Amino acid sequence: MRSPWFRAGPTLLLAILLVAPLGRAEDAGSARNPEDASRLERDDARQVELIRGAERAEREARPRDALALYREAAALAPGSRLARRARTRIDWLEARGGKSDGPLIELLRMQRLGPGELTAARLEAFEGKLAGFPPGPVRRAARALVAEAWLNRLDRPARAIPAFERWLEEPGVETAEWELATTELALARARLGNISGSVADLRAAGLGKRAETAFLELELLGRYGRPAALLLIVAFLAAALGSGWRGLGAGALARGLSPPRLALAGWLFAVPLAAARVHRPETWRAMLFIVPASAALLLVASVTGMALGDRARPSRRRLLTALGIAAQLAAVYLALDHTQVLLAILVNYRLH
Amino acid sequence: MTKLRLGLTLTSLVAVALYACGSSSDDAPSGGGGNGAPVASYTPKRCDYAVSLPESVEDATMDGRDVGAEPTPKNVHVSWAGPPSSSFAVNWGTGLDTRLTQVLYGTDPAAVAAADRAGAGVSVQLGHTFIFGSSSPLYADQKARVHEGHVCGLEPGTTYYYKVGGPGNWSAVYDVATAPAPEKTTPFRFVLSGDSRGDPGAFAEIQRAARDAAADFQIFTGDAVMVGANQLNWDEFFQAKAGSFAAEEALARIPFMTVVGNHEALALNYFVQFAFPGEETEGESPDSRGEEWYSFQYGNAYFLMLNDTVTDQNSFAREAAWMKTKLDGLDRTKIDWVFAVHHRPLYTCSNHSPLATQVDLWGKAYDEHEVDMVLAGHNHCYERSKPIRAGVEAPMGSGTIYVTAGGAGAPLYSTGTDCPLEQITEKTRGYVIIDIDGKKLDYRALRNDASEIESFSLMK
Repeated sequence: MRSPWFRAGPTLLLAILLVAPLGRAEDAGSARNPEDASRLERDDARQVELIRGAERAEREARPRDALALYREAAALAPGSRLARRARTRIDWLEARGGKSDGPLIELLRMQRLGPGELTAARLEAFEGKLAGFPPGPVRRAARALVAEAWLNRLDRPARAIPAFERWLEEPGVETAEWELATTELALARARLGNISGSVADLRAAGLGKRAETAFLELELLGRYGRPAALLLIVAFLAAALGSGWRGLGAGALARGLSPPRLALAGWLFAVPLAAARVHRPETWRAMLFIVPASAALLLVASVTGMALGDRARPSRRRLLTALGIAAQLAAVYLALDHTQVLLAILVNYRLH
Repeated sequence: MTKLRLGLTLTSLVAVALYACGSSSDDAPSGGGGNGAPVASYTPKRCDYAVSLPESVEDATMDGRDVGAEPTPKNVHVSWAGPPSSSFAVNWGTGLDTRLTQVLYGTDPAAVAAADRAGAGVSVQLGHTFIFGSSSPLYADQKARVHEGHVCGLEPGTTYYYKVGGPGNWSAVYDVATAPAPEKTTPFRFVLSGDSRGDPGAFAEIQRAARDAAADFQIFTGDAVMVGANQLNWDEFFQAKAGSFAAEEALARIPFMTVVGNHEALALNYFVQFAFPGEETEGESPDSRGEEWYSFQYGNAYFLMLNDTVTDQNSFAREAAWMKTKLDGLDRTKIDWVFAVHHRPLYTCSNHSPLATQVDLWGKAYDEHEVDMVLAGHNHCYERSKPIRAGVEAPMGSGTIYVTAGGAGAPLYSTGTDCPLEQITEKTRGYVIIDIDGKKLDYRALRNDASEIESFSLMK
């Protein structure tokens, strides 16, 4: 006689085995059942048509029509990829809707103007309407478009300045908008020649770490730095050649470029070149400027030194050496400035 | 009787073990295993591809129970390492001691939000995690932990909801949509941008635009950060904000497919924080696990994602050969559109001139295989060429169009006017929206203020 326990064993095992796949079934919860899948396929064509229609309506600045079509598309197969797109656009349009679609329609039309279609008269006319727009994201976006267009598309910084100021005065302006408008306002003033004032404004606004601030600072430095660097190089070349010219006789060049000196110079240039090559193309490019410039300066210094021999007074030699070092630093500055490595260094240093 | 009871007990134990297998073995990837087991490579559950980890990382394990001091997921972003129609990959960071590496997902947002483990309508995928250091001695003191999960076996054209982390420590719930079935011609949209380095705020603006445009994915042309080996730069990139909008809102929802830029400099930080299709070919950096250059297909479009930051002839030739193999294998009756993406432009009228070797080797490949568009950055501006074939202007629709989209934040470069092969150039911040609807392509280049630089359509 078998015990009830024995008879129950297989039953229990069967029951547990039946339950076991549920562990896997939990995991398959995301799969669609065939009915859902076929409905998705059926809805697909209609949904695509609705999305196409909605996007056409947006392109033609008909936001109300677009909204209706997106809503219909989102309701078809709500779990589909295109319904997700429709919902995103619904959210965007609803956030910009109001009692009237007029302001949004005006903005969409201005945004879609093609190359060459934006004129000062057209922009001025649009700007004139903005006071009548209700405050909110549409008016802020319109203010941004107007200010940026005056500054960057029509190259009218004087006209851009009040436009940026009005944008900054908009109620509800976000931090990012404020930062952008403040920066662009400073750039507009800099374009009118007031670079130092613009740098001061940006620093006062707490935007000293922005790349634009570093760019303006380097522009300010370059205003005096570039001519000064060139002047230093020319002064050194003139002084060196002038001092050594009389002593330049036969063999001076050969003595100046002796194998040990050439080997030393080669080593001095090879190391930074190799480092630049490994690091980044920008630094490599900068070194390609620095090395020939420095090599030329060293060549002049070497030949001049040999030509002067012991005849030169120590004070003159010291002056020439100091001028030579200054000229080399000037060449390095010009190379780093030209290749924007200086800007990259400054921005990265500021950020961290 | 004792024997019978023993038999019953054993039977029950076997059954319970089988039940346990039913729930857990399916979660465990092959070659890895959960519970913090060490891992070097594995095939994620339901995926038809393997994931391998760089050798230079530390403490590489599968999902573990260690919660650590900073378990809240940060830097969450999605991409594809497998077919976009049935998978997605997600990366995120935490404090160094956290090994929780799970992805909970499903099609019901409320169920995913409420769940702390897999259950009705919610699935779980276990991923891997490790600690990495900078590949540069300048940042030798930096250590960070990254987590990576691969979710496969999904339905095409469907919106999924997911969150990452582990029991009690989850991220927000994000939605991500799978691509249409391969070669299907349902409309899709992607946003193109590049060169965000140095201005996370401007990058965040573009991410907001990508979200508002309801892009299905993003193509990025490199130079995301100033110094690829500096993790602080990457944290700024992933945590970029524009006012109240966080870039993560887009990065965690819209797959972000990028190529390496010269500022990334093939740093380990770049490779370990993104998941792309890995297909190891000769010449790729060992840290890249085959992701230094790769390709993927979305609907009826094919994307070649190339690395042009190693600028010697051999490297360009090697990738040209790889490109040719890929393009030769394409069925162009089903793939209507082919895009090549890399950092350096082949045609440009701005600061950085094209590299002659690249123009020669890759340009020929683009001509031979009738690549529709080449998408690049490097020059911080917007440029779009006329259609070009064999180095000269071709009729619209019969040549390759070369785009420079490098205005995502880096200091802007001027553009010249004496470039006869350029159709339009502008020194501006901006991005491009490309819509593909079967054999029609709609192209819109936009400034950051949403005004249009230009738009046009192409038909096949």
